[in-house]
Amino acid sequence: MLDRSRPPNDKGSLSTISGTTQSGAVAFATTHWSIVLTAQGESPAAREALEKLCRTYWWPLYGFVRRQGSKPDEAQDLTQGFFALLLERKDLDAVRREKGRLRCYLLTSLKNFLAKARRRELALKRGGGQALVPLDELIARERADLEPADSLTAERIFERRWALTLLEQVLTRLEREYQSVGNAKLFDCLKEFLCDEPGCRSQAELAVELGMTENAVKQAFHRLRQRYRQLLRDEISQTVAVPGDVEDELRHFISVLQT
Amino acid sequence: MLGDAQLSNRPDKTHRVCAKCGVTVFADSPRGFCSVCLFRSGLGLLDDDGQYGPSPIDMEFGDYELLEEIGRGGQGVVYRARQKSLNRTVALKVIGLGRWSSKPHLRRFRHEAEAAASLEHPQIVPIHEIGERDGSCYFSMKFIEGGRLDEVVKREPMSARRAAELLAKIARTVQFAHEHRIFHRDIKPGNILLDKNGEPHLTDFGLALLIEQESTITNSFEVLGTPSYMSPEQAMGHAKELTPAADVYSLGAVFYHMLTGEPPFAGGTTYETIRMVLESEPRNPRTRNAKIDLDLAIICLKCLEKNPAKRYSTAKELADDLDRWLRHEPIHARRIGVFNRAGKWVRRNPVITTLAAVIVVLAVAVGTMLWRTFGQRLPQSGIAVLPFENLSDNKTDASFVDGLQDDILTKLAKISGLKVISRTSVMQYRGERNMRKIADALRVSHLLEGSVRKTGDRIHLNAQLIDARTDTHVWAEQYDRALPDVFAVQTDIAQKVVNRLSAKISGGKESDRGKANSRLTSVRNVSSREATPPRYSPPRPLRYTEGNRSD
Repeated sequence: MLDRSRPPNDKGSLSTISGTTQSGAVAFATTHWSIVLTAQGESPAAREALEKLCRTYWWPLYGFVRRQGSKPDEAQDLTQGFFALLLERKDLDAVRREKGRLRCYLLTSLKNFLAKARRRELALKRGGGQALVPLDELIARERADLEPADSLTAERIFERRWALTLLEQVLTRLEREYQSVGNAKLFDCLKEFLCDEPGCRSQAELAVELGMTENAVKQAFHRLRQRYRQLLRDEISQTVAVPGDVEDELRHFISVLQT
Repeated sequence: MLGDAQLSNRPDKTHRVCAKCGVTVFADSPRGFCSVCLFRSGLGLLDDDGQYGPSPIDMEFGDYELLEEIGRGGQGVVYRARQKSLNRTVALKVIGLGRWSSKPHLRRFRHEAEAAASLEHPQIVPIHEIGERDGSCYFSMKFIEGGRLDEVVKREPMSARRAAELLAKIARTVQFAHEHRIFHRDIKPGNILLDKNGEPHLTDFGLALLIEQESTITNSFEVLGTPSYMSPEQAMGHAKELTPAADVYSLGAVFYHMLTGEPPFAGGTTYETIRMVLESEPRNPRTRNAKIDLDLAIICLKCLEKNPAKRYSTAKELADDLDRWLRHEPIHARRIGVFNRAGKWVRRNPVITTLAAVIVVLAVAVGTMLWRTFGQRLPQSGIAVLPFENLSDNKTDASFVDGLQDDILTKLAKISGLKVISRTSVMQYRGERNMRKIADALRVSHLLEGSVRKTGDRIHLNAQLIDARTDTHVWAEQYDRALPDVFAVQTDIAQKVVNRLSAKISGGKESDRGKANSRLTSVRNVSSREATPPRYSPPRPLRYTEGNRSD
């Protein structure tokens, strides 16, 4: 059976992608970033959409600020202040000039913001108490000291973190889908095949472990990978306004992470 | 404040090296995976993905056994499949549900399937079955063993003749669909399949819109179709206002690709491509391939006019012109007039145009000064008024057209000092396209040619003055007038020709000015048919498409 609407199961359903973005045949009016781009004047929907996007992608922005030389608490203030100012903006002409990519728009805006920011104004612009930058997660990441910083510029850090944040979002969504139908273990077993790294166990071995036929494992992985691709493109589409930019973003992230 | 040096003084937290791509996987990579490989998996670039080549899937879909994925489009995935009940190979297009499959998407899919299934034509891929299954829609169609046109062109360059033959067949197929009130709206090389015998088959009526329905499927946010082959009006999202000319445009873009190996517009992103479709003029295909016949380039560029009214108005007209070319007959499409060509060049080169304008102003000033000093005489080089082409549906209008040409010739013949070849001598060159050959034979420097179409009580006339020595257009004009104004048109044409061939009347000797004025006056007065002084009105742009005639 061909079914992509329900979460994947291993009962013979087949998932397909309904389409790449090559022909542009997608209802982009419903994506967050496109809502922001097309919002005219004060729009609750645009504000909400932008807020949601900011919450998702604060980490790369914070990384940029930190790499510019700020201490953690200072960087948090600056990032928080930047978001607050962003959400108050009504003029999005600059956005359209950036050809509608949220990533480019945020980085450009942040650079402008940092150039002008002063500590006194930041204290007044803390978003009325609404914290968009989660402090506890921030501290945890700072302490983990996970990423290379030796030779990366601030822009590179920003791009890299953006890409990793995106991936994390996608994998989390995918995992939750499998968990919601009681297939958490299946997800845990199949996800390693997404990268297809040599040295992982084979699908035949997994079939034995899970008590499934090899063909069933093959089909189940095929569904997982199809769904992963859908979610990945969906996640990217939330940050671009033109369908064709999804592929560009994907290739851009690959090049960023390869260097 | 931490400086860069301090920030960089942290131990390198290298996690491992990816065994597949060799990239360093740091500890912040999601779930410890190689993020590069994850993205590549998302793009379908990993070896066993099968995205760019057939791979066995071995999956069941109701009565169909999916054998391999053979295509992927904006609305679904296409598989080569075996229909178990009939034991035959089919192509199965499936659209699944999920975020990308909104209700408008599904409605569009149903339209596609129903529209395509209603068409029976040897060049249209027949639909076997349409259905829905477990939340997915699908339709099965005849499996065409061969290849897509874009793959074929990529493998081996196609001869111009072959390209013209194929496009003529495809155009007639599209005409068939249009006659059944169905637009394709996504004509591209990828939707044209070539079977084992090299015959084309049109498929993927994914965007077919039954023109008699008020459809709200597409809105201004959804621009359907592949940008490189999309008409400007379609790129702007004017779905409800599309005419057959939109498909004609796409046919022209396909033809361009067949002739040159590339689409007329291809930006780095969809955004850039659409912008080029809307704002840029296509490069003449002959600049990409000098071997392309001039007439084929004219046909191709006529299809790619930004203004739908300037294209072939039907796919049949396009097919007819291609057939004329194949039979070595004169095509109906005209090389665009010097003014139109200049306008397009100006749009492509605004900076150079500005500089050129400055230079021209200076040159005119110098030239005028020189002319005032040395004077200018009417050149004794001569002109031949060639038989005008009759583009009217009614063949009996030929005598009217000949009479019109004769009147203009007569007016010019009465201009003193102007050598005009007699009608008897020029009539033998009816249909002849080699201007230089005619001019050499008649020993003239200029040729006046034109075409006339009479529809009801209006005439549409296109006239061009050609300097045969340089094979360039000196003057061109289009007239769209009521029939009673034909005399004024003739006078205007003659007047314009004289103006071009005469000296500029500005600051010259009184005697010269008088002679020029008398010549112009004689043009106005010479006409045995003019009962009243002709009424002059500025020419208006021609409204019909040149060569617009159905046989």
